[in-house]
Amino acid sequence: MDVTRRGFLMGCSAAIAGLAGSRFNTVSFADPSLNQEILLVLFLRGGMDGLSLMPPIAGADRGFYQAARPTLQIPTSGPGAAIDLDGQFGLHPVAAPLFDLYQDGRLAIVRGVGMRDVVNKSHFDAMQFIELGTPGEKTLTTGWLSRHLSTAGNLPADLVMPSMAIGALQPTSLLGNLETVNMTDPASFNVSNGPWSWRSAQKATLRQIFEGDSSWLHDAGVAALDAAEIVETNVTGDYTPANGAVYPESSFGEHLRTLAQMIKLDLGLQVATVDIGGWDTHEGQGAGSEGYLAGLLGELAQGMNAFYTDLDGSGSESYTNRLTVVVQSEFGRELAENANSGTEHGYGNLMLVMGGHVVGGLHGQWPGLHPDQLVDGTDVAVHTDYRQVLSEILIRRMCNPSIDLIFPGYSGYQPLGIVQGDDLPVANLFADGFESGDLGRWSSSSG
Amino acid sequence: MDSEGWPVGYVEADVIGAARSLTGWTVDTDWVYWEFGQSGTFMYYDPWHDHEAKSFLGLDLPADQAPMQDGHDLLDRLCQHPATARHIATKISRRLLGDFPPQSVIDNAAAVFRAQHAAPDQIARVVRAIVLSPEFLTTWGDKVKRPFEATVSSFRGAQGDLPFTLDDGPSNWFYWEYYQAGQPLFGWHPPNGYPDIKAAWNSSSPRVKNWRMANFFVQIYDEENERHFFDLLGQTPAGIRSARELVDFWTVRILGRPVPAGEQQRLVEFMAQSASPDDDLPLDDDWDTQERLRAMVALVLMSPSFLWR
Repeated sequence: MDVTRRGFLMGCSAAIAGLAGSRFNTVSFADPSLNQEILLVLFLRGGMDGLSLMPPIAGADRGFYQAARPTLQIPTSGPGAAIDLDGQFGLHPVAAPLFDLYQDGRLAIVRGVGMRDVVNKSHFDAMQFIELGTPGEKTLTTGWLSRHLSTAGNLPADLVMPSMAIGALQPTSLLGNLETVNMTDPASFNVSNGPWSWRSAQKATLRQIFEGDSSWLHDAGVAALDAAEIVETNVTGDYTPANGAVYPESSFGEHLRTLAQMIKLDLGLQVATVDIGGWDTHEGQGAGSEGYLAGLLGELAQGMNAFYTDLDGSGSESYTNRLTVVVQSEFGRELAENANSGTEHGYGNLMLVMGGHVVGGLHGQWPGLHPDQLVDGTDVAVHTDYRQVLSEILIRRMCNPSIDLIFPGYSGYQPLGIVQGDDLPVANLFADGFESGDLGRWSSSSG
Repeated sequence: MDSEGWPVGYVEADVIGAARSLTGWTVDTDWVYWEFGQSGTFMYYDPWHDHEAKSFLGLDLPADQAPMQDGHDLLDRLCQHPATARHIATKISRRLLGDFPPQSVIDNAAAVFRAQHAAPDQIARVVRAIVLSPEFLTTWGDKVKRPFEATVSSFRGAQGDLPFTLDDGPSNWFYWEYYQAGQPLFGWHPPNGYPDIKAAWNSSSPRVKNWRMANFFVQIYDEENERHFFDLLGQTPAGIRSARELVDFWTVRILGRPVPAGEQQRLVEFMAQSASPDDDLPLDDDWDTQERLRAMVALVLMSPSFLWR
């Protein structure tokens, strides 16, 4: 991938102002051999309680669930009842906006998913393993999304802003990718706050200083200046979401809104990350449609629905046709509620996949809640490795089969049929002379 | 157990033992309990302490120890655990040397940490061991200042003075930008601390926000006392008036050394504009020149030389 942000700024500076009139995609995305997909990874930090988002509503598992969660269970009838998905599972009532997407075939729910080979109940370890893409290993200095971006050979040559992390810090999944723009608020993402009469001259000098030498610090400075200039030039005025989409009034809602706004600038955004925290519900998580967790789940559902609605459209405005959103958390929570009306760190969980080419419905083998089926007698098991889900999206949607580089050490990939697309042969590295799964190629770590 | 008889890891029972040892350790605020005061400082409240026997990392604590003894025993046990020595030695080495400090340096620092566990200057000895290592002498420029360090450096270097207060315009502005820089005070929820590798702080948001803060610092105005909180003019000696002199004075003042020739050249060009670098500028009576000095000093606070640690 050749990021020509510099070329864009230098060569097209006169044209930047008119960019809204001549959308980037009409030029660069004309070639159908180039991948134009947008992947959003939405990380629920803290360990989302999947058994509240999608509880069993019938059969033996319902019995185990009710017995283990006398006060936190989602009822199957009456006020606050679960929304029936397939007779066996239901959605939390506040997740009704997700049910709309589910009915439209735009939402897939994968059950019994997580790190198949590693059980780790530390938030930090689990998140790091998942985002580095190497469960049990922390030696890499790049995240899995960074390696996707660096191995994708099918991206347009003139991407201005290929990746974006909404948040003050870059997540581990994008670690080591200098091209990633991370920001929270586009309106204040600029360096135009110097003494008034010297603003332009000061910015020009700042650029000269950082371009005047080369180091990881200089290069990152130039990238940050470019990003600020692009955002400042393109993000003007108020943003009105399309199709009457209403984002939640929270920082999560703001962040999704900002991302939709950035996507519509057609700057070649390929990969984005958004975080929503607060899922570590050890106490007082609330029962049914009331309380803390219901608020958080409602915010998630409304935000995802608004994002999809905002980006939906036809023709060149149909961003959902190029969009895949994947939602994950570092682990699920124990089946049984604790004495503080909360739940402890668990293991297997759900992943959600939303997009225009998703095969809607339930996926993945359900591990079951019978005591013999639980891990350590407390946790939902993991039958599907999270990398299997991500690999399928990378192959079928992003058309990047370099799974052995993106997830070194992961083998045995088979598609689950969560998204539509072609099954490209999974690449090996012998053509490059590297051993498959050789961590050394991607690591500068000596420790 | 390792070769010295220490448990190599911890289990749930250790977590519970530790929590029980610390019962009664609380904060003196009526938010916690209505009978408490409002000092906001640490306090020990014996009625809330679990007086039963407990165990932690292979250490048995008898029932009914003296007040706070369980907690002190717990901390002592933790401080002597080899994993603590490795953990702290790794963190300090990473901070002082680079993201991936050599294992030999870490091992040596950890050995000092353990050998000196009773010394009043234990940490100083560990730092000394790292700083005196040959590896330290050959490491430079592998770190970038985090937003907090950049802020403190700015205040220190340019002798700034902003009394942060609640519900004050400049303070609120600063807090918001600083929050977006990614290192809000007490804002990192996981108990593992802010990341200390350069990749985490080398991305666009921390950088853009640090730059904006530099511009903010040189401009914030104290309406009440009619002065800039960063009094750049007042600190510039009367004999320093040419662009070159101003750049040299302020770079050395802030960084303690001159900047590389390329950076210095750009700063001088900016400060001089159409004047000759060695001509005196009308700093004393021309507002626009004063504004340019503020913009130039902000550039020093934005420069690679300043951000490098």
